[in-house]
Amino acid sequence: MVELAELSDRRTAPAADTPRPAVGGRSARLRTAAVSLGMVGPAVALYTVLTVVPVGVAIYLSLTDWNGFSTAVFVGFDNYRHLFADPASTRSWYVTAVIAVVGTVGMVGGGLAYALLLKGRSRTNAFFRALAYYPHVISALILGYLWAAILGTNGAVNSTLHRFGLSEPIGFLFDEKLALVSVIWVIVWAGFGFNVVLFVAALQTVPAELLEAAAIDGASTWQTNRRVVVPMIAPVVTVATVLNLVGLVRAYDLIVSLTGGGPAGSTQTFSYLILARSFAGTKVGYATAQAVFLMVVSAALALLVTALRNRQDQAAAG
Amino acid sequence: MRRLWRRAGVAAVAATAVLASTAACGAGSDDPPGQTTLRIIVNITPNLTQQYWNGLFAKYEKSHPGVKVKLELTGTISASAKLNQDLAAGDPPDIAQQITPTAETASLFADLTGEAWTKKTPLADQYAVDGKRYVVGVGEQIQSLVFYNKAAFAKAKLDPAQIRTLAQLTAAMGKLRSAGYVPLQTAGQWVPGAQFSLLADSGVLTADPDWTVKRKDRKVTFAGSGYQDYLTLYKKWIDAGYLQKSALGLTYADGQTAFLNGRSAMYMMGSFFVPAADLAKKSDGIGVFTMPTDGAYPSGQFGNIADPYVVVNASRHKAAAIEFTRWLVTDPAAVKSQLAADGNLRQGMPYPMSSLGTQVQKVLDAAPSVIVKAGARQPIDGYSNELNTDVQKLYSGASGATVAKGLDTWWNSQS
Amino acid sequence: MGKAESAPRRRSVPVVKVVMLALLTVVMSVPVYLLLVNSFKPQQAIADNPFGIPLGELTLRYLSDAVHSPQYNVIGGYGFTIFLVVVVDVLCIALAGPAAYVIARSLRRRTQLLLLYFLAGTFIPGAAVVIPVIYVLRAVGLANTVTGLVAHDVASTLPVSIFLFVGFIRTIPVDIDHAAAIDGAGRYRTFWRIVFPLMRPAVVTVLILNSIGIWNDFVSPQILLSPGSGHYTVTTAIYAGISQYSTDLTKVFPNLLLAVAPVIVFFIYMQRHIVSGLTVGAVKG
Repeated sequence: MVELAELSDRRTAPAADTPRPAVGGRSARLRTAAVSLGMVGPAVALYTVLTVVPVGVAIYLSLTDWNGFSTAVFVGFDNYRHLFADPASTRSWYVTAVIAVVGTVGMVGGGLAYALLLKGRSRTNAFFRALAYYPHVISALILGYLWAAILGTNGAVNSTLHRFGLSEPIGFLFDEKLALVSVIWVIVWAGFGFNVVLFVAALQTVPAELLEAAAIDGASTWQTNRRVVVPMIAPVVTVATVLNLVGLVRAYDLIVSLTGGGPAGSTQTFSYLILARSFAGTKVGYATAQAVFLMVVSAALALLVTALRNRQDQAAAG
Repeated sequence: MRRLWRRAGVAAVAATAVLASTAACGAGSDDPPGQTTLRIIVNITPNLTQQYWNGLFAKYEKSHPGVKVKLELTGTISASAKLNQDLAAGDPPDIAQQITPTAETASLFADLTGEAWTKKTPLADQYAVDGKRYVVGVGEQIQSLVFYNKAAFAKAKLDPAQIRTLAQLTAAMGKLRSAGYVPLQTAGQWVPGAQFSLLADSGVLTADPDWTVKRKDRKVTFAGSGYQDYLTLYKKWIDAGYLQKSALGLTYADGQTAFLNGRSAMYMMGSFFVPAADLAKKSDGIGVFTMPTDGAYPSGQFGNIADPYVVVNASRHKAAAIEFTRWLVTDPAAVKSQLAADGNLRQGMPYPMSSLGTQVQKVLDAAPSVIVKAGARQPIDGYSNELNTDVQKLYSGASGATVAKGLDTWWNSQS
Repeated sequence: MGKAESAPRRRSVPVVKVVMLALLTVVMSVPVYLLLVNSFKPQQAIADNPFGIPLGELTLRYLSDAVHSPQYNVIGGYGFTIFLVVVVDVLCIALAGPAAYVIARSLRRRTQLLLLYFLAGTFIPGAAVVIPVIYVLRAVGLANTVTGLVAHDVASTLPVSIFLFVGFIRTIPVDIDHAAAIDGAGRYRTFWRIVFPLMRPAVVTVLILNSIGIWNDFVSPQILLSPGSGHYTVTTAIYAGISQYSTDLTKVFPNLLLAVAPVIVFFIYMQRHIVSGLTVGAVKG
């Protein structure tokens, strides 16, 4: 996401300048332009064809009734109206919102708590940070299967509880209410370590004098953290919050492997609905309307980051 | 400027060429002359494994030297979802199994009405769209069946022949539970919705075969029909502990295994359960009776075409594909092999059956009708998914009335 | 910054800290422990006590079964996934590098708009755009092909890569370019010979970001490569395989272990680069 303020600053920066060819002249300048175009062109072409054009195609298809093979019929905003009338769709937005909000609170909260604990530069701290971080490099699909083997009806936890005399397994993945909790738990487990690293980097820039001053004033660690440290890194916390939100709105892989959207659709996110349900059916127009809607929500959240960050930059500069 | 853009275009093409050369791989199969490769997608199930299909296709290749049959795996999606995906990609297979053409999709498939041999294939006319035959099958499956564990019934002193009404079924569950069994086996994934369909459709659709047509015309509702009663009954069973909530955490295969291992007493499933029981060598300990209802006894059997095949219209080898399909559904050896593999039935095509298979055949013989959900009687797109989702809500406290209302809301929102 | 921990009320802090670190250790290591231990145990031993280590029963059989599995072989998936990672990485750098150079060195408003154009791509969720991508690939004849998947993957890595490169190139003094130009080097050569070697940190970041992203990607290969193509990445192999053997934990655990092991080893080996690369990529991108 671009830092717009920075961009406009750069435009007037004296350091960046177009290198001029030693020999001037119109044809030479044209040749330079041609070379530049040759350097930018392939990237622009590929990106346009496979990212921008598909968005256009999606917007077009979302305004049609099309089953994937017959002639598409233009239906205006019917598919979007259906989006809000279809219980399967509204339900999955509710699930997505719960996952995004609760998951973000858990990831940011957990990240902050452990970042305050592990901000020191010692090797032990680095080890614990790596321990918290490692799931971030593993595919969410695989983490989901691993946790399904742990939390499932015959999973590690339930078979251990059974061994200790519990007759009925706990419904981590088959109870409608508990399953969503389990999904959020795995998301937080896998993602809070990333926030730890992010926050530690910010914490390490908090001046030591400030902390010493607080200590001299007789503030406890808790007070120092709350009153001095956390406000100092508030900008990073804001950015992390929105980053997590944007990421979770798209949750798909983990749902596929952990719950398959069940039980009773209680963990069916919007991305899952689009890819596993709508696209598997024959309502391509409706499926793309759902996809476009997801794009709009994601983009709105992402724009929020940019806006927030710009405001912070301006606050920092002014 | 135009020349510059052209250069950029050339560069882009060059980049694509690099891509193409580094990843030399296409989807189209280029056959050597005299050789035809037919691509087919099928549903892989515990009965019809990949090995089974490859073995079957190898027989055809042996008797037809010029033809190679390539089984394309669908991953974990269903054959119809895979076909949609392949059609979207413009790369469909030649033949697809387990797809039911509708008026909307019929144009995608080859019209086989002109092929005389299709006339004698099972249920061919019930599945016809506007009088035209697009799909041909190997046999019939029937699904209004309750399998039971003989030992459990003996222990609970129950006679399956006396379980004819829903009240009797419910009372039997109570006795089975007292005898220490889980009365009714279910599982997660698609199973709860499917089992509910077997139970409720036997009643509702025997009484009114055109119920689905009327629902499409908004003349009936779930909430105002037998479906709500069935949902309420199902909920009562859950509350009484006759169905285990924890079973929702099992896969279809897990649930089947639990029943085979004698942990539960009854299992509502289609005739394709028979070969699984045979394979586990448990079929002698298992019996079967027709689904009880509050209406006629015995009710009509909810049934469907087994191993339905369609030839994709866009196939480049349509004639060869039709010929292969003919073999699949008419060659006695091929038909019997497929019938036996999935426990399906077809008149005039006897094959050695286990005791359980013979009992299923008797249930079919006694049934007054076979209810087929095809053509106009086929529910709308996404119904089985939604039903499955909503039935599962009964396990976490939703009432039958709430779920019936939810189904109506959903159905109405789709059209 | 070690001083930060030595605030007053020293006693209360270590207790909380010890408890929290113990919790962290348990919660983060138990899943890996279970994965590791149960990959070597028979089904009954897993069911009886998933946490136990029955020394007498440990066996390499199941792991070896997974290695030699004829279907959805994870090791087989390595090959195709590595191929995908390498090809996408190389093409991404080859396309993003020169483009970023031109954008970074230009003052024109139009060129800056180009950067914004690329950045808009970061707003689009992959899961949403992958469906229409199928139709576009079909139109250019690349549907269900490896080439199509590679092209899509490269396109999806371009925005963040270009953004990171542009930011970095702007920190490289433009005098270097001028010197090269005076020596008669063209822009293309100037970039690859002079500027690119100086971009090492940014290139490493982009490589890590893209490699891990492609290795872990599931949606694109699942949707853009038909299962009939016969090509499996590690994630699609696991996905296709698990549904077939989900009841058998002696297949689930060893296959997951095979899928996770290379990533964990890579992570331990390159930890510092990975952490900083992914952080920069997420925050800046």
